[in-house]
Amino acid sequence: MRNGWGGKFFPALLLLGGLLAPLPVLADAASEAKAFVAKVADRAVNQIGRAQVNEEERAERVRSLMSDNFDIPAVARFVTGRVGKLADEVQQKEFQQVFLDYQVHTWAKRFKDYGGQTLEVDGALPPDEAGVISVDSRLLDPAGKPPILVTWRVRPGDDKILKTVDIVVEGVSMALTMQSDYRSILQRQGLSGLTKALKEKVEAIRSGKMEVPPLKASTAK
Amino acid sequence: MKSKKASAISTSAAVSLLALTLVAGCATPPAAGDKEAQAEWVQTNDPAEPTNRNLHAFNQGIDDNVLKPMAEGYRDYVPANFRTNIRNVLTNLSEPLVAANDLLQGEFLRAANAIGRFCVNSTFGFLGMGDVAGGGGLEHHDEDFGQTLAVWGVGEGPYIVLPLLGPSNPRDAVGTAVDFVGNPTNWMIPGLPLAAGVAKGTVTAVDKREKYIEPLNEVQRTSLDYYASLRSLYRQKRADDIRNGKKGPTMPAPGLAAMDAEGDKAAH
Repeated sequence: MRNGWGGKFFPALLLLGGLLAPLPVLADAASEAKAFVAKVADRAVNQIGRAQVNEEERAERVRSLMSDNFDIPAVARFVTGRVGKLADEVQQKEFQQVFLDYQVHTWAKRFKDYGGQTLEVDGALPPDEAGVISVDSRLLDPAGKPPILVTWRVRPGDDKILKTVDIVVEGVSMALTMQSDYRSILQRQGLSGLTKALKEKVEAIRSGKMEVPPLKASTAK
Repeated sequence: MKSKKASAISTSAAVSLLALTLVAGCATPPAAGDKEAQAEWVQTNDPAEPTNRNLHAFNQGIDDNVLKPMAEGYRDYVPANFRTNIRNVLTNLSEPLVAANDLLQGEFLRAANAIGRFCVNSTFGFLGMGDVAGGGGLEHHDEDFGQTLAVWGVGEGPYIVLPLLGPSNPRDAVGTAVDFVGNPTNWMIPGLPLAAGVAKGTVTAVDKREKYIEPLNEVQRTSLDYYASLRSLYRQKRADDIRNGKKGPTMPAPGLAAMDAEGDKAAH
């Protein structure tokens, strides 16, 4: 170890720099995440909710909104856990595809009779140790029902572009809930069994056999 | 519409399912060597899963044949403002219990809020039928002894399904019992006949079920494993209620390498 002036000064400078530098970066990340959520919500309301388009076009718009703004591969890995990790790549890709289809068709139906809800972004927490930023928002109902608290969990991908990894509604995480929903079928029938089951759900939604109520019937307390 | 015969069959099926739970045992834990399976086992925290699933099926039978039809009938035949009045009365009767639990948790402002609501609504709200306090900005909040125990540091314990009462755990089951015995509104009306207590219990159950008609339909339709989804929803909702909706410890999020091992954090 060096004992000279420079040997002490430079580490100190580095330390000081290290203390000061992250602050603006963190604040930036939080406001960037807030702007990201506001943009996603705005696109959902204007291009999907309010747009007078046919069912097919609506589903296409939901698909591109999700592909652009949600980290579907990461969510798919999370909800399939260790069984998904052990499956081969072809099966993983197939599951991702069906999983996205399922989300797309569920949300396309939900947006069908859009009830005029809007999303107001509140605050954001700086990134946690995993780099995930939580953005709080409220889903406001024009009919005067109490607002629903929605927390968006967003994270920059390898290309630094922000993507949503989870949506937490009134304290309930969609990703965690799907993870437990899928676990027992994964244990019994593997990833291909889950893919098959989800495919059937997608078909049921598309054919109208499975009803997905529109967003206007917001009944959360 | 289900035929009478069909519902009789499903009711008897439900009864035999309840009998089945007596012989059903516990789930087998994974081998000690399999670390990931172990982590999953800990996260699921449901060692009595076979029994729980049978009880869930029993409760489902009751719900399909009795409770849900009652809730739907209640919604169809009782006018909305009447239902609001009934819900207000029930909420008002719960305020002293909420206040007591707030005090036990050291939440004095929230206790004052509950007591204030009780006083205002019992008088100006015409025996609790109107929510005058809520209109004036004193919003209702829920609290129960299960949450109080959690604030005191008591862990939830493994997941259990109670007959008729549904998802729970040892901590919340004790809480439910303590709330039932210790509810101040039960002492205020001494000598309350049993029939009145049963009636109040029934109205409470039907009112609560009516409130959850759509959300539960949605979960039932969209989930592949309704039992597991309810288990997860119950845990997450309880954790959120215990924190009074404030931010909790970091939830696991998709994309983390250590997600499997950390998956149980959100539940506590």
